[in-house]
Amino acid sequence: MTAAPAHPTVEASATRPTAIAWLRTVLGLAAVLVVAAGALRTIDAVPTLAMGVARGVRRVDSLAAIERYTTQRMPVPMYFPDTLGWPPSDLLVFGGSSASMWFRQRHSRETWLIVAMGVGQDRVAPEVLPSVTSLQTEPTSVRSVPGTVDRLRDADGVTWYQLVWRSPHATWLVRYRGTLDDAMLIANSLDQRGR
Amino acid sequence: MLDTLGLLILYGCVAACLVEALLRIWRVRDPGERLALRGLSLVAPLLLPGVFYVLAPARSADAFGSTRALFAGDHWNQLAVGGVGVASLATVALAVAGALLYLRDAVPFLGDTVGGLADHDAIETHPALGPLRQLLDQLTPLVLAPPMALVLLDRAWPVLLCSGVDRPTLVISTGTLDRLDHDQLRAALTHELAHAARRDPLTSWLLMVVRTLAWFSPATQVVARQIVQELEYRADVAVAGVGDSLALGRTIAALADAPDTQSDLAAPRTPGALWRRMMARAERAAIGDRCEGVLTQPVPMRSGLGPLRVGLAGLGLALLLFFVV
Repeated sequence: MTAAPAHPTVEASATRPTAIAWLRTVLGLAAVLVVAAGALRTIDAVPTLAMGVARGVRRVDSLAAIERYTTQRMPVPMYFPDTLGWPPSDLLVFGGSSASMWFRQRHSRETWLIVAMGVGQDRVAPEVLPSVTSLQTEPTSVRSVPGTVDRLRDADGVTWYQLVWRSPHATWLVRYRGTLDDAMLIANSLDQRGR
Repeated sequence: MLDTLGLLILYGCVAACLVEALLRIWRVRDPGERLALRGLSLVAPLLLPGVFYVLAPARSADAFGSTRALFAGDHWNQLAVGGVGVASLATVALAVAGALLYLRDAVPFLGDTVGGLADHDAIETHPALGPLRQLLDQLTPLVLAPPMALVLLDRAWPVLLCSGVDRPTLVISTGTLDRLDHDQLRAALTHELAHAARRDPLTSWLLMVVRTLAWFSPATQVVARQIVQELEYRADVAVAGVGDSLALGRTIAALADAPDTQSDLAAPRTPGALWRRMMARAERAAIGDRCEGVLTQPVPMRSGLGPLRVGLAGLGLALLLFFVV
């Protein structure tokens, strides 16, 4: 048998890429990356959807866990209306910098008070708070620090009062469903030293 | 520890899926390019975590996972089954699967290495040795292979392998010679010489090293097997390049039909339990596909885009995995 020519081959048969081949290469990669990113994002959202919290929010079971994630002591109000139940019904952390405590009314399942902080931030991440519509904002003073007081309406049409103020290393927030006076008392009584 | 294993497993899965999709969308047929892309999906998941850790340490912070990441494995640990996070459970399950896939190939590999196929029952004198040596020397320049040592085994079943990391050796048995005609033997030897020309035995060892390092990653184990198939495809293409496709197809069929064949040109037979029979059926289907490919597909042309594609795939993979924590 006569041997066929050595390697007619693969090396000799390279083609010059056309503009369409270049375009197909780039577009193909872009399409695969977009689909892969979308799939990863969707899969990532499943646990938080199942738990009923925003994406990236971690539900923890103790104040100590909040403090571990945020490396900041979470203040607890020293003025705590009798109508509210202890311990908090929900403790949420987002991104290692924002955290919130949710308190229910003692004899109902409804949330009445939220205390939150944003460490090293000029705001508390909205992911750890329920969505609301702002009705009115006014300047005020909390613990001798300039802040704001907001009147809010939640998805059920209930009115809340929200106080926000800042310290050099954190932003603090109290959102209360009762009277503005009680909200002010709660905010002014927030203290880390008592814990 | 479990988190790191989970991340490496996840990276392996993402890389394998991404490269598989690119191979199909780009319709890559050039064996060298296919191998490079598969190699990328094998190595990148093991190297990138270290690179990311050094270049972007802020990625490990909780804030990155919550705000910027496309996927954070930790989020899945918030769902618990029996007090254990789903991500941790999935990591353990996948690591067990990876270990089983690893052992399935590592045990026979070690057995061959320890037991040895070549040296202890080689025949020094046999009438077939001279013509075999002559044919081998005649074919060697056709595929630009280095000179190969020849070991003939006195065994009734077919043995045909290219072995030797530093000194390529063709191991063949009398059972192989009895079953193949001249053209088939020529095609089979060309195939094994093509392995030697590309130092595929060394690649096989390196693959086993990577598989051992990533024993827990099912994707790594699967991709390593795919790379072995790509090595076979590349050797098949080399045979097609010298015009012996038809004979090679007949060789693959002949060796696959013989009992107890030990050759990369045929899948091993594994009768017995149901899953073994299922595996054997799948392997026979793969042999059929391979024969069909050898006989019907033209020798693939290089697209000229190979290095660009591999580079782009690497960049794309790194970009995607950067946002997976």
